[in-house]
Amino acid sequence: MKRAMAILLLVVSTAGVALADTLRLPLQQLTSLASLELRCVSDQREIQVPLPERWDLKRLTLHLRYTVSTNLLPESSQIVVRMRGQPVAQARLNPLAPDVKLGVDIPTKLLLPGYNALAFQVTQHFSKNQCENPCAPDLWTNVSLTESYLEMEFDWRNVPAELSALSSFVFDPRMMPAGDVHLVTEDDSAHSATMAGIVASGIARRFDYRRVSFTVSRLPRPGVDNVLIGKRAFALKVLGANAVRSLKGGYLKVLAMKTATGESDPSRAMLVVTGETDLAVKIAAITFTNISFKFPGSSELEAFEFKLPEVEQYSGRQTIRTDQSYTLKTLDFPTQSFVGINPGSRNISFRLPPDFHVRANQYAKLSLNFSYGAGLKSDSSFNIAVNGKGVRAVLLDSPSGNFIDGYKLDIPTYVFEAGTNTISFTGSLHSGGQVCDLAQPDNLFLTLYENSTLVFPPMPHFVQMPKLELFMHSGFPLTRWPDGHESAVWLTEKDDRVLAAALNMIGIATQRNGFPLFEMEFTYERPKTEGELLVVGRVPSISAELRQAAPLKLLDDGVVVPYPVVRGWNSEFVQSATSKQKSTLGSGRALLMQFESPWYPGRTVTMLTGAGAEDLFDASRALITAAVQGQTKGDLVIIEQGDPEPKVSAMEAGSPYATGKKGSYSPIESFLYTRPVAYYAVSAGGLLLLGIAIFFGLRRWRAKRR
Amino acid sequence: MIGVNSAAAPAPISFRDLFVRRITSSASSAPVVLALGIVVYMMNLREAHFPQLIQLAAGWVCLAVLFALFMFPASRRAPWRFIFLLISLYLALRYMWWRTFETLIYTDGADFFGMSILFMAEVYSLIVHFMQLFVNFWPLHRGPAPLPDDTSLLPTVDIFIPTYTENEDIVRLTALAATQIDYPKEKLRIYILDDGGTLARRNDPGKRQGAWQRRYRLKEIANNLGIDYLTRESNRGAKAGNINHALSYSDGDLILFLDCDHVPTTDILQETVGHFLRDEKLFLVQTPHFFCNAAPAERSIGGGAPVPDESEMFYRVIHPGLDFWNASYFCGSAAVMRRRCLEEIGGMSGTSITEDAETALELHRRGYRSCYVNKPMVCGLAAEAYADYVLQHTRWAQGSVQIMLLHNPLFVSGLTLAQRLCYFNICFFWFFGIARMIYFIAPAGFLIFGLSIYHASAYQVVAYSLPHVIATFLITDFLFGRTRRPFFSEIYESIQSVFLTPAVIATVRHPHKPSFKVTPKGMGMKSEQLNVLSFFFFSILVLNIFAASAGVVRFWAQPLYREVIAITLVWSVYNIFLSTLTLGALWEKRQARLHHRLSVAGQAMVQFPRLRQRHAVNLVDLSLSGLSFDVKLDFEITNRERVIVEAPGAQGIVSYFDAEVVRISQSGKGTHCGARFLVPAQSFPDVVNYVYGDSRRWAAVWEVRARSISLLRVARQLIQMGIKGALICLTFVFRFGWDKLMHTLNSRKRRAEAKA
Repeated sequence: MKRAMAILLLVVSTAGVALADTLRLPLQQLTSLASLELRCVSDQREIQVPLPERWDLKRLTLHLRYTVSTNLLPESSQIVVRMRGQPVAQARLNPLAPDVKLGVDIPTKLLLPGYNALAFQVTQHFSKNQCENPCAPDLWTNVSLTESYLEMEFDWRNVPAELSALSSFVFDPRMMPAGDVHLVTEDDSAHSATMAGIVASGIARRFDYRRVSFTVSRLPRPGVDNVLIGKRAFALKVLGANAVRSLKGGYLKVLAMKTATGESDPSRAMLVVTGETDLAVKIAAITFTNISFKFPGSSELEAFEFKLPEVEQYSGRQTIRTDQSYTLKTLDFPTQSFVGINPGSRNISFRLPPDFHVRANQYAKLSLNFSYGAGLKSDSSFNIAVNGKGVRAVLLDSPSGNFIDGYKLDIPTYVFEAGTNTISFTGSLHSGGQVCDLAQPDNLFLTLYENSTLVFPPMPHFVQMPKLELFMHSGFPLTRWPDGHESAVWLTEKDDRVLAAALNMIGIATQRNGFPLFEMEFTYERPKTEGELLVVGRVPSISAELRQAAPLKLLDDGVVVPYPVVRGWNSEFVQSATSKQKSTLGSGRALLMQFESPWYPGRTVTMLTGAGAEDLFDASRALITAAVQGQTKGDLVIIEQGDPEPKVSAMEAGSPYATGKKGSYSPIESFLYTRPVAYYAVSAGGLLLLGIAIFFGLRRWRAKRR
Repeated sequence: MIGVNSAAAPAPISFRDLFVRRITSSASSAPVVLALGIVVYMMNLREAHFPQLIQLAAGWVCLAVLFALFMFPASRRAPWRFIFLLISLYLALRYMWWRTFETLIYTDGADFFGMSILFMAEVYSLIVHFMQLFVNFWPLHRGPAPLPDDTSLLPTVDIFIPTYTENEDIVRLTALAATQIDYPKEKLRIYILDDGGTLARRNDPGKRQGAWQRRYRLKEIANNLGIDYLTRESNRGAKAGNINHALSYSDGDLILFLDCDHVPTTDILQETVGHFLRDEKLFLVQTPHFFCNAAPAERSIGGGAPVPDESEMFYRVIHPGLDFWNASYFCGSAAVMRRRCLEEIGGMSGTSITEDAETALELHRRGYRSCYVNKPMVCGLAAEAYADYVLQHTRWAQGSVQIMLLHNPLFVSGLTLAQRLCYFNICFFWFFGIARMIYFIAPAGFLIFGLSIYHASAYQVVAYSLPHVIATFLITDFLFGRTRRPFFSEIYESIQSVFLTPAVIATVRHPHKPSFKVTPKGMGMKSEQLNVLSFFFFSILVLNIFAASAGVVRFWAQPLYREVIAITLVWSVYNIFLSTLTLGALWEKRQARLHHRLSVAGQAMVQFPRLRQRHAVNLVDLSLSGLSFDVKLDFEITNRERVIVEAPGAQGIVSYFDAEVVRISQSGKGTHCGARFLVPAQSFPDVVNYVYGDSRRWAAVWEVRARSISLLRVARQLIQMGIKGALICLTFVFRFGWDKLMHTLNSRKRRAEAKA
C-alpha cells in the first residue's frame, strides 16, 4: 500500500512537472535587430529579457549562435554572457571554429520580474603585441538573433485578489509570446459591443506593445483570463448568486476563474465589469480601463463617477507636441555617458502625428549640453542621426576636454517621418596616442546631459489617403482624436467572431496610439454622424454602397478586381487594370481595405471582410502580429492563413483623397488636393474666365469713358 | 470735408435708386465675381501639399507662359493683355499665400520681430503691385475732341500762371508762349499771379527790395505782352491761396493752369477745350508735364544719352490708366478746369500741401468727371539739383500721405470703388521708402546677426519667390518698358527712400504739420559734387559687403543652412549692386546752360548765303539760343559761317532766323554743326513759337527717349555706371578723409606753434 501510494505521489509530482509551460523565444522577438555585431577590442551589447510577474520560472536556457572573425587570437579573445551583470558563461573566440552554438543554463534566481539585461561582452585581439588598431576591421563577432533563443520553463502563479494587480500581473506587457483574453458579454447588442470595445481597448493598452487577441461569447472560457461585461443580473446568472453584491454604481471585481469542470483555477482571472444599469456598466468599464496605479488593494470596487481629462487631437503615447520644449529627461533619456573606445549609441524615440505634413522650410531644434574628456584624438566626434540618417557630427577637438552648453542643431523636418522616430547619439571616441602606445581609455568619455532640449515646430496636418500603413503606425485615422471621438465601428452582422475581430482591430489601434478608445461607438447600422469608420463583417452583409466604394468591389453582379499593370519605381505611379468577373474571395482569406467614405468626403472607411466569420477572426489575429502589420500598406490587403505565418499581399488600387486635422474635406477639395493637374487646370480656367469676364465687363465701361 | 464750401456736399441717393443700381451692377459683375471666387478659392486650397517638383513646375510654367505672351506683340492689347496681367497677378497671389501660410514661423522674439518687419514690407510691396496692376489694367488713350467752327460757341478761358520766386525770364517765356496759344483772343485772358510781389513781401524788410523789383519787372512783362498781372496782400494759402485770389478777379468759363516754367504749345486749348463741350459733368482735362531737362538722377544714370525722365512713367502710362477709371486727377499745371466746379467747392482745397490732388478728389466725390489727354503740350523744367529734387518729392509724398490720413480715399463718400483704389494707390505708394530701407537692411539681419526672418528652403524660393520676382520685372517692363528702363525704378526709389522715409513718418505723426514749399526751377548746377545722401548708401554698401562676407563664411561653416545662406547672399549682392548704382546716380553733374538744349528729331531747311545753297538738314538738338544739325555737304563750312534757318511754326508759317555756325565736327553722318541764333529782340516770339509752339516736337522727343535698347546694353551701362560712380565716390571719400586729416594735423600744428 505504501509502495502504491509512493508510486501515485511520484506520478502526481511528475504530472505536475509535465504541466509546467515551456516557451522557446527567439532573441529576435526581444529586439528589432536580426543580429548583434560586437566590434573593436572591447564591446558589449544588451537585450532586455522580460519576465512576467505571474510566471514562476523553473528553467532558463540560452541557446546562442554566433560567428567570430577568423583573424582573432583565441588565447586573448573571449565572449562573456552576463545576466543582470552576472557572468553566466564565457568562451574563447576561436577562429578555427568560427560558427559556434553555445548552450548556457542561466540560474533562474538571477532573473527578477520585469526586464532583465542579457549582455554579450567581448574582448577581441588579432595581434599579440600592443601594436594593434583598437578598432581594426578584423575585430568582430556576430551574434545571430534569429537563430539564438531562450528556452523557458515556468509555472503560473495565482492571481492576487486585488484590482491593482490587473495592470502589473494579469494584463502584463512582459507576458510572452502574447496575451489571450476572453470577453463575456451579456448579449449581442450594440451597447454590449461598445462596452466590450472600451474594455478591450483598456486591456490592449495595458499589454502595451505585447500582442493580445480577444474572443467573445456569452459564457466564460476556461484556461485564459476572462472579463465579464454586463449588468448585475447577467453577472449573477453567469457567476452564481453570491458573486456580486448589491450595488448602486459601476462595479469591478477580480475573481478566480473556474476550470471546465467547475473547479477553481486561481492562476487565471475572472474580472467582473458590471452595474445595475447600462450607465453604471459604462462607468465600471471606463474605471477599469484607467486603473494604472497600485490602487485599490481590494478585490472589488464600486465606481460612481469618472472624470476624464481634456483630450487633444493627435495626443497619444510618446507623441511630441509642437512648439513645446522637451528635455531629454522627459523623453526618457537621463544623463548618460559614452565611455571607452567603442561606446555605442543611445536613442530617443518619439512619435509624430501620422498625418504630419513635412514643410521643407521647418526645422526641429535640438539644444545639446554635453561634456567630453581630455586627450581625445582630434578626429573624435559626437554623431547625431535621425532615423538612421546622420545629421551632424560634432568634432570633439579640444585637447583639454570641454563642456558645451547649448550646442544648437537645427534638423530639417523632412528627415523625420510620420509615426515613430528615433534620434541616435553616438560617441566616436578615439585615443590620442600612437597605435603602439598603451591605450588609456579612462579619459575617453562623453556625457550628454538630460537638460538638453528638443523643440518641434508647428506642423500642418495633411495626408493623402488611403494608407493602411498609417493605421498600423498609430491607428490613424480612427485615433485622430485619441479617445476615438468622431470614430465608429460598424459591425455588419451579429456574430461573436465578427465582434472579436473588431475588438482585435481596436486593440491594434489602441496599442499603436497608447490611448484607450472611450468614445468609440459600436453599431450594427450605418452611423448617423460623420466620422471615421471601421467596418467589420462578411462580404454579403456589407452594404452595397461600401462594396461599391471599396478598391476591390465585391458587387452582387460580379467582382471588380484591380490588377497592377505598370508598377513604377514609386508606388504612387502604380497603374491598375480592372477586371469584372464572377468569382469569390475563397475561404482562409480576408480583405483589409481602406477608402474614402461614400457619405462623408475626406472621412475614411477601414474595412475588414471575408467570406466567413472565422476567416475574419483569423485575419484579425494575424493582423496583431508584427510581421503582418509590417506588410500592411496601401489600400488593399489580402491576408491568407498560412503555415508558419500568414501571407500578406498589399497594393494600391483605389482613388486617392485627402484628409487632415479637420477630418472632412469637401468632395471638390478632396478631388483637387489629390490631383495636381486638375488643380492647375481649374486655376488656369478660373484665370481665363476672369480675363474674359473682365474684358466684356470693362468694354462697355471703356466705350462710355471714350 | 475738403472744400471751403462745405454746404455743397454730394447729393444723397434715394434707396430705390441705390437698390436698382446695386442689382444692375451685381448682374453685370456676377461672372467677374464668380471667376474671381474660383481663383481665390483655388489659391486658398494651396499647393503646399503637392510634391515639390510639381510646385516648382507650376511656378515656372506660369512664368514661361508669361514670357511667351510678353514676346507676343498682341499681348499689349485686350483681351490678351488681361491674360498677361492676370497670370502675373496669379504668381503674386500665389507667392503671397505661400509666404503667409507657409513661411511665417515663430522661432523666437528677435526672429519674430525681424520676420514681421520684413513681411510687412513685402505685404506693402504686394499691395502696391496689385494696385499698380489694377490702375494700369486698360489705359485709355483718348481721341481728339474737335472744337466747333463757330467760335462764338467756345467758352472763355483764363490762363493762370502762378509764380513765387522763380526767375522772371522763365515767367516771361511762359507768358509769351501763352499769348501764342491758338484760341480766339477775345475769349482768352492771361494772368500772371505773382506771389513773390505781395504786399506782405513788399513790406518785409528782408524781402522788400526783391519783391518790389520782381513786381516791377513782372508788371512790365505783363504790359509788354498785353496780359494781366495780379498780386495780393499776403501769401496765405500758398499756391492754392494765390489761385483762389485770382478766381475772384477773373470770370472765364475755363481756367488753364500753367506753372511759371511750363511753356505751353499753341494747340493746348484746341486739344482740351472740346472735351468740356462734350461733357457737362467734366471738371478737369489734365495733360502731361513734359520736361526738357534731365533731373539729377537721370543726368547721372543716363550717361548723356536721352532717357525717359522720371515723370514719364506717370504721365504716359499711369495717368491714362487712371483716366480709364475716371480717376485722372489735377497735377497742378498743364490742366484745364471748369470754373463752375471749382467755385462750387470754394476754390482750391488747402488742407494738404498737394492741393491739386485734393481738389480733384473732392470734385470726384461730387460725381464730376475728369479726363486725360495724353499729349505733351507744356514744356517744363525738372528740378536741377538734388536739393530741389528732394524738396519736390518730399512735398508730393507728404501731401499724398496727408490726403490718405485726413481724407482717406478708401472711406470717404461719393467715390466709386475704382476711384477709391486709384486714389489710395496714389497716396499709399509714397510709403515705398520704408519698404526699400527694410529690403536694404534685411539680409544683414540674417547673415550678420543670425536672425531667421525668412523661413524658406531653396526649392521653395525657386518655386515661389523667383517666379514672382521675375514676373514682377516682366510686368514692369510690359507696362512701363517704354517709359522706364530696367532698374531705374529701383534707383529712383533707393535715392528717394533716404529722405522720404523720415518725411513720411513725420507726416504720419503730425499730419497737419507739413507746409507748402515751392520747388526752385532754373537754378542750374554750378559744379559737380557728391550729394550728401550718398553717405547713407555708403553705409548700406558697407553693411551689405559685411553681410556678404559673413554669408560666405557661414556658407562653409554651417552646411545645414546653405540653402538659406545662398538665397540671402544673392539678396545681399543685389543690394550691393543697387547701392553702388545709386551712389553713381548721386554724383551731381554740372548743368550750366541758360536754355536747355533738347534732343529732337526731324528735318529743317538751312540756307548757306555764302554759297547760295539750301540744304535739308537733320535736326539733332534745339534750344532758344540755337540748334545743331547733321548735314551732308560737298563744301566746307567755315567757322562763324552765317546761315539762315527756315523754321516752320506750329501753324505752318515759316520763319527765317539768322544764325552763325559756332561748332563744326565731322561724323559718319556727315557734318555736325552747332549754330547760334542771331535774331533781334522783336523776333524772339517767333523763336519761342518755333521751339516751344509745336506739341508734335515734344511727342517726338518722348519717342526718342523711349527708344528701347537691349537688356544686355542696359545691364552693361548700369554696371559701368555703378563702377564708375563707386570709384568716383570712393575717391571723393578718400579726398574728404585726407582733407580732414590734413586739416586736423595743421590745426594741431598751429595750436602747438601758438603755445610755443
